[in-house]
Amino acid sequence: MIRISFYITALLISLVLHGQSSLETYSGSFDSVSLETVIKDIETQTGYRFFYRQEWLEDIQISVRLEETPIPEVLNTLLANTTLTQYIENNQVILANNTTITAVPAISSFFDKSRSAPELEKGFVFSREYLAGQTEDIDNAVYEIGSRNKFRQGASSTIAGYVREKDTGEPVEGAFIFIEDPFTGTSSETDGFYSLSVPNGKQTLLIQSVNMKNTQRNLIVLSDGKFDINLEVDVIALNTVVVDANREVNVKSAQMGLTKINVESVKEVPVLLGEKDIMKVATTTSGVQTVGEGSAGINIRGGKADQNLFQFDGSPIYNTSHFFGFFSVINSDAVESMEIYKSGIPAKYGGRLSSVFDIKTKELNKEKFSGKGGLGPVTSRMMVEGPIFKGGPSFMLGARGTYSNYVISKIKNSSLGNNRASFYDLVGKIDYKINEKSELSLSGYYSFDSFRLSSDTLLSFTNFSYTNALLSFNYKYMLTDRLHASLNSGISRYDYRIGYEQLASQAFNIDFNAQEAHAALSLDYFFSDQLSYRFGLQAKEHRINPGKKYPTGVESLITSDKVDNERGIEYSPYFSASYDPEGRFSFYGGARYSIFNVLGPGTEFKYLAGGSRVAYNRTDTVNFNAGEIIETYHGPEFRLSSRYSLNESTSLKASYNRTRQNIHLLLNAASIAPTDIWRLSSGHIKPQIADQYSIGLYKNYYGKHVIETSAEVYYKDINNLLDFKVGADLQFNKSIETEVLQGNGRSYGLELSINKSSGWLTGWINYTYSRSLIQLDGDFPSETINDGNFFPTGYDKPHYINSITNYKFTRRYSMSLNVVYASGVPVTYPVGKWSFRNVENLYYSDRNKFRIPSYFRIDLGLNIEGSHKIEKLAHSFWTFSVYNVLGRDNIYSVFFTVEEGEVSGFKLTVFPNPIPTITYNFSF
Amino acid sequence: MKWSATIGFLILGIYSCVEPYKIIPVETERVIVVDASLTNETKPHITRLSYTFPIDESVEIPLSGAEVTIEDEDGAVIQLSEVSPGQYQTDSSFAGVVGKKYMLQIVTPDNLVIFSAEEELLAPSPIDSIYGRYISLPHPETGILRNGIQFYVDTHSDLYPSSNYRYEYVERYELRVPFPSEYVWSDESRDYTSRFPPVGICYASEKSNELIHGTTQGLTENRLSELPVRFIEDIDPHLYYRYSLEIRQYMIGSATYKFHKKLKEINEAGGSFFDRQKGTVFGNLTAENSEDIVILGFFEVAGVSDSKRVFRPSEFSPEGFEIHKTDFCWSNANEDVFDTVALGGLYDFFSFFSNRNKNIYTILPFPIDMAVVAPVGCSDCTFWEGDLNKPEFWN
Repeated sequence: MIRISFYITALLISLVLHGQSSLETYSGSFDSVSLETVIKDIETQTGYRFFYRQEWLEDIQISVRLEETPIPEVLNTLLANTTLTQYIENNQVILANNTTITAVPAISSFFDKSRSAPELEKGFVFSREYLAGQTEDIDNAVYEIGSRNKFRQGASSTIAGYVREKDTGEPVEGAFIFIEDPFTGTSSETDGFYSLSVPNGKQTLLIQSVNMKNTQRNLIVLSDGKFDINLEVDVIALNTVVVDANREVNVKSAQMGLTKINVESVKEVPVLLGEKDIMKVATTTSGVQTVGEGSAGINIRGGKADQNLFQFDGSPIYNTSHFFGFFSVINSDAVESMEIYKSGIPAKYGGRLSSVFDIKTKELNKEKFSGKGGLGPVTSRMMVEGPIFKGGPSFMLGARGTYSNYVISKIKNSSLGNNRASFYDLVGKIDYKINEKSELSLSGYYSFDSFRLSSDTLLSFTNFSYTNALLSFNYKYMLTDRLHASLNSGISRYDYRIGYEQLASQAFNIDFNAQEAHAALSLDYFFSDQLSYRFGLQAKEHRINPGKKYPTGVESLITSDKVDNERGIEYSPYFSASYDPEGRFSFYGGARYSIFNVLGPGTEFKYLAGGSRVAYNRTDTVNFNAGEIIETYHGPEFRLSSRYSLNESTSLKASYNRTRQNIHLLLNAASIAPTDIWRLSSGHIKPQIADQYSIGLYKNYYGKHVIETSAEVYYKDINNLLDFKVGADLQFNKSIETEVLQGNGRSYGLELSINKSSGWLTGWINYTYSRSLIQLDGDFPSETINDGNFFPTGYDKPHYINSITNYKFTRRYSMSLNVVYASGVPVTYPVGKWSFRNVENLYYSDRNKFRIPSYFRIDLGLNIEGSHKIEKLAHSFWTFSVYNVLGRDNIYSVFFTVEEGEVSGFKLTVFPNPIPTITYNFSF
Repeated sequence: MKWSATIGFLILGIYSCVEPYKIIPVETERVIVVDASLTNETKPHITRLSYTFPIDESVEIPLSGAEVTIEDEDGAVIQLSEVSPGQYQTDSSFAGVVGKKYMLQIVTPDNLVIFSAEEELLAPSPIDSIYGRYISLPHPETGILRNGIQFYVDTHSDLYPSSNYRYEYVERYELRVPFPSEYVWSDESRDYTSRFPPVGICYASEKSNELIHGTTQGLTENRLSELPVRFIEDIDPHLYYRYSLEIRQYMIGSATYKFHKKLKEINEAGGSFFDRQKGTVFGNLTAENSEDIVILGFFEVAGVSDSKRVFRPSEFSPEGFEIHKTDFCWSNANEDVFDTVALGGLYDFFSFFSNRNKNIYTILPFPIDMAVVAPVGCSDCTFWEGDLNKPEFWN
């Protein structure tokens, strides 16, 4: 609310600020009159105009005599013994209470100056007198840092601690903490943590952050020590300044291939059916590709859709989409941010080849009860949060659901009558700050999807449902100022069921599930503000039920049967060091060792040596007891990143990472289908291993607004990439190895990106050139595809352009534009026919030899925020969006069928017409 | 489209549009296709050899001049002779023996040697019953529900723990034209004579042109029930009068079953968001010493049984089945008109090219002296490729 009022103030100010600067003087004599009287007199005598809140001036009495005094001096005199501060621009005077108003944020001047910090000798008070007469006013109080015994004159010490919001205790990210002489500073991290090296002695630490009151702390720095800073909410926004920690990270951090999505940006992207969706926003960022509408998979840098690790507060999510991929399972209202690592993946992450989507739930409101919600044409959502009791733990609960079945039932005379589709999801979190040193949180998530198709010849099933359920426990403990520990443990489970009921005699269900239980201990050791270490151990237990079939209904003749369960345990110790000296170079190095044990009970078939893996070459069956190790796969994974600064705004980065993956989705299409099954590495399926090398050039253009640009090239080599024989039967298959092919993968590309994140016009444009190839060169014709040569994978899209542009007309009205262009995906095309059993059959080209036409789409969105009145009970905004404004027929797939012995070709287009949507969102 | 409908389609993830896509013909690689079958029946067993042909054509290219032999596990070799281009057959007295394994070998005119895997001839099992039920079934493309009769097959085998079957059918139905031609015009004699035989009722016959298969793998007993074989919609002329379904049941091995299943899936799959990888399905044939050469098709060895049944539409009336007859006899709107022609004007009438294939339905005698001339589709059932001879089993 305060924030909003300040926006209005700022807006007013920006509208009335005009005129020329003058060096006018003022004369006047007053005895015990109100300050307002004096100000009114100044306004009548001079060209100056004042802006203030009346209540600030009410109790201030002034007695003063001024003669021909310049206005700035007049103000200094008048405000000398008050809490008021002033800001003069041209001949406008803005008064503020208890707030320092700056037009140029310190962070800007920081960039103007050299970062070299000569270690000056500072005066030092050896007595403890300064501690006497300490006031309540923390700005003027003096704090001792470190221990007197360790004090060394002329040396520097590291101050580290957390920046938090005073009222809610929530960490403040991107706060700028600095000292002026010598000018040196740092910004706080996501969890509010900062560390800064300053010369020992008397120091004034200045802290600035957007939306927070500027403040200062007087310190006596004796040696290294901890110092937490609490900030009060405020806004100092004369010129629109958004301090974004990321933009500095772009050129300053050694990390590359990282995209960070803030939930706020989600609001500004036009969406389909009004459901704001952080995952959809992710697909508009550089190097993140989707196959098309209605496809659940995301392809990162030529990686397969199952090679992305989606983590929700540390626990994996197996299926990230509702409704065939039209919606993501993530309720954006419950999310704080999402980080996508595409290269230079830190050593603490492992288990998937291509990327990590690290999703963090929101920091909870510890002060008061609040909520958010939205009503759309198909879905609605609601989220509430607040403290359970004052000073106690906070909670958050969110829910989302669809009323699609109701809508379907309203459609008359349609073939949809028999179809059903619905979903919902629930999210919850409790967090509790036990004391200054420790805090814990528990988050849970549950999603359910169910649909029924009256006819689907491909999948041969009629009923589908799936659930994601996860629980994640996080505990952070500060062992010392420098050593922080965090413990994450959790369990995540994915269940799905497919059923068939067209023929009563063969009606059945098949149940599947995949489960991961994990525990991870991570330690951060801040050796200095330049060097830190992170190390830990992760243990994951995977359990998979690849299919349990049972009859449904009394008439069914189906026998109950099951494919053996799979179990594997993965241990991964890791260690990494991050070295960031004050200079041109910074470095991150990490190593992770993955040990994966495939455990019994289980059955493994042996095949004729030198023969193809088909049923008739089976020579033996080996049984393993419970807990017996069937196979062990292990190997190191090195992760290296480095940055070399060419100048203050330009840097060059390089990274290498190896990743290993032991859990594979049997994905026989470009898109993830609800019937796809997860399987573990086994005696026959080897772990997939990828090596990625990338180099990037980053440049920021600083001006009124910062424009970030980057160019990254990458090359990836994959071993044991999984693929399948033609017509592979993956459902309920007890010898999946007879259908699986493993080969070499290779992908490479270039990602160009321009991003402007502040000002009235914001947005980004990305161009990606990427290739994704695979080679399947087996010893037998059925195991060799395209003569054993490299060929494009089904998700190879060489050219990909995505862009979001957002323009704010006023504080309330904004418009956004989303543009996507992509090369068509490869397809296997029939190149001839052959006659067999009185039926025409298709003879296909080499796999993926042709491409469907390219894809192009423009979406438009309009956001209208409700009035910003503070007193309003709830704040709201409307979203109008039009998906596929041009109504372009984007071909999703081309397919050929044989009907009554004749071949015909068809194209499938999804959303060939523009789709308008209105959504109402509110928060209180 | 109404707003609610838009949403509805969308919800299902099928707010999508499937339209014909022109197949762009590309140069077709010539690949040998083998369509070979051997059963336990005493009859000529046929192996057809052909090449793949372009996508926009419909005539297959036969492979002539090959040497085709079938060898059994005891080393006995049966020679097949080419009876027409690309069609090779055994002697009509030959029958496969249940339990024996057979292998096909082909030597092409280019001396390429093709051989099949050894396939065992499994014992046939009898078809227990053929029956129909009145149901509603969604159209495979449009999803729109259609009413009609679904015909099923039940079978079982006591010889094997589980069995795989492939089916072919021949359906015959009585076809009547509404205005059967009573007279036939002759240009030579410039006169009409009474028509014999009558062309009002024919017996049309159609062969299955899709791959139909079933399996009892995964079932509690080796009994297949309710295997859908053929669906006839209530507007199709097949069930206007009497209808017969003759089903041939091939007892096949699991590899043969798998091949047919994959082939059918590749042929029919498509149009969903989860299209599987397409490609060519390989069978049990390989070229000797050259693994790069692709050979399409299959050598199927099977025990065969067959059974047929004649149905009357009235059998299904208790289930609520009703025929919706449509005038199927109009084949061309412009030419399909009735004419009344003065008897003296018939010569002139039939000398017009567009009237050539019309028939005299009837003669209106004196004092009218006119002939009623009907379009061929409405007056001659043989136009619809019907056979005038009633099948022996019809009554």
